[in-house]
Amino acid sequence: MTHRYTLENVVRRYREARTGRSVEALRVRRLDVAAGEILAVVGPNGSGKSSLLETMAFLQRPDGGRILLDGRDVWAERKSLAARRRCPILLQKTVLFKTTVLRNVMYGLRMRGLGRAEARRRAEAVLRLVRLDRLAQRGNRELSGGERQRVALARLLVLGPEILLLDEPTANVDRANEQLIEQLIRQLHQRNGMTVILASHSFRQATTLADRIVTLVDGQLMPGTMDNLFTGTLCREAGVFAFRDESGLVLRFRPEAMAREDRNACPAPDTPVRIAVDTKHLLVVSDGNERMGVFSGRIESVRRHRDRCRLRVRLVEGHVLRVEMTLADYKQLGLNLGTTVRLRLADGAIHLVRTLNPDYSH
Amino acid sequence: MNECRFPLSALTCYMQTLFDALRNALHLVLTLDADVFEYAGRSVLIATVSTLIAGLIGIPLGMLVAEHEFPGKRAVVTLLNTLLALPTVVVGLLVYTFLSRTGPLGTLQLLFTVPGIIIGEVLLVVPIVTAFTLSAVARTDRDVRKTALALGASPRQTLWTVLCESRFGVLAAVIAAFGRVVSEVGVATIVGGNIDHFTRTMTTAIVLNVDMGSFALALALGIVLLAISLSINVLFQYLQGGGQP
Repeated sequence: MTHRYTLENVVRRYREARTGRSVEALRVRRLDVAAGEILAVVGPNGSGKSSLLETMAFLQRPDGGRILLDGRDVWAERKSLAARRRCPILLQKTVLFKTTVLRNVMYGLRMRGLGRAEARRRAEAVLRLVRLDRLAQRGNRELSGGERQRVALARLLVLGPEILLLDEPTANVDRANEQLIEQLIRQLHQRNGMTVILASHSFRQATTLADRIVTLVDGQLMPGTMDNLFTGTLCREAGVFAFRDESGLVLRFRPEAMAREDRNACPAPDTPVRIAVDTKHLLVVSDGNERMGVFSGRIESVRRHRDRCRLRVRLVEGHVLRVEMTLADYKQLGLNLGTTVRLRLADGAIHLVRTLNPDYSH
Repeated sequence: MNECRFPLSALTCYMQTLFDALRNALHLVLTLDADVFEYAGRSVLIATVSTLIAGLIGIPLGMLVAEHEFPGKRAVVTLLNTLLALPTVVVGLLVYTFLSRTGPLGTLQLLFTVPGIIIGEVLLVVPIVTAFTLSAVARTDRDVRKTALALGASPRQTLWTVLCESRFGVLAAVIAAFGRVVSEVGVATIVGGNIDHFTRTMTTAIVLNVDMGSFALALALGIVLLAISLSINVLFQYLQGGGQP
């Protein structure tokens, strides 16, 4: 498989305004994106999604590591302008220039040296595609939120990109505009086979659009969806791991339940850590030893998306775990709202996101 | 001042003076008074050239300071803001010492010439253009810059985009600079010398007429100067509005 993007040990830092301290916003050990793939990056607010996408759009040089685009190290070869032109990004905050919709859409083409007449022709065609051709001569201030977002998307689409980076493309739009934008992304992906990297906080959007989902937690990438985040202490007791949540939840599990790279982790007994449990690696089982990585709880809610569903399971101790499974398995196990289930941690289900003590690193 | 023929109140007398001045001003304009047109033309020329040069220096300088972070930036901004209140006579004196025969630029023989006045006016308004541009560019959303880069603009194209997006503020800087020069008297008097048919401007002519007791003529010239300023401002405002769809 051809890798369009490869990120290796990419680090981004920023300086805290209040303290002047350098803080790490992103640390990606490795991320490969295949040509023609739609990759969704999900994660809570402040997890580093925008930093990741802006780094992949070559807007900012990473503080460490390298980014390969079609196998070439862009920053080392000083080709950031050419790379930026290949990978336009829809930023989280939509800014339209103080001019008409048409001129906004023509902007990128004009920056690439295209003549006014040809740029206008292409811009008008794209405005028809996003159903804004009637507003071509409107000023930037005369648009609704959804229209603004569609203009912003049209500005990228007019460039005919082979790679498209979308940072929360439907964050501030109504449902109708959201559907229209998602439909456009799907259509264009099918028609042109472009690579799309999408940051979203919506699990529904990620599962609907993406071929693959990765989760960012505290600036670190985890495979799959990691909505189960806990902060507490982690230690080894007689060959098993024991995690104690701040609110009293205790998780005991075999080392195999830890992700491969974290199995040898051995934080000091009182070191605060954050762990993530992969929603896809929590298996609904009929039996199991409750002392060893099996938890009982009741299904509190179910959300269905295409052939998958997401359960919200409230454990006996009162904590909530989110579980993802196929709809077929859900039906086969005869599950329903209120059903009591047993959950088992599959191998590699738990990721040590980070230790919260800056002096410790594993 | 015109003599009041009737025992009118002080206010009526004042209104009479203003009315006479307005009538005089209209008369000077309608009869195409050569002196008035010469002074006005010189004032507009000095203001236009000075503003143009100050713009060429101050706009890039303002952008440079706004767009870059460097040690001592806050001190530079404070200095620029202080220079906004620079007394015109101080600038006049400074330029005078430089251009006088014994000064470092004495050999250029620019003292009591229009180019000499322009040098002084440029020094006076460069801080205005720089400070206003800096403020306008700094106020322009940081995301404008990021958006331009995201759409494939080169660093130079990005700067141009940021300037275009700040154009209302930058144009305000230009208007303020033009207004300051056209109404300025200190530099024009000290560096220009107020020489008739050579360096006399509208403002120095007004001062001279006040000194000679010709208040009505001075007021008439003032009204013409105000009309010029108003026309230029209307033109600038039209240009500002033209950019906004």
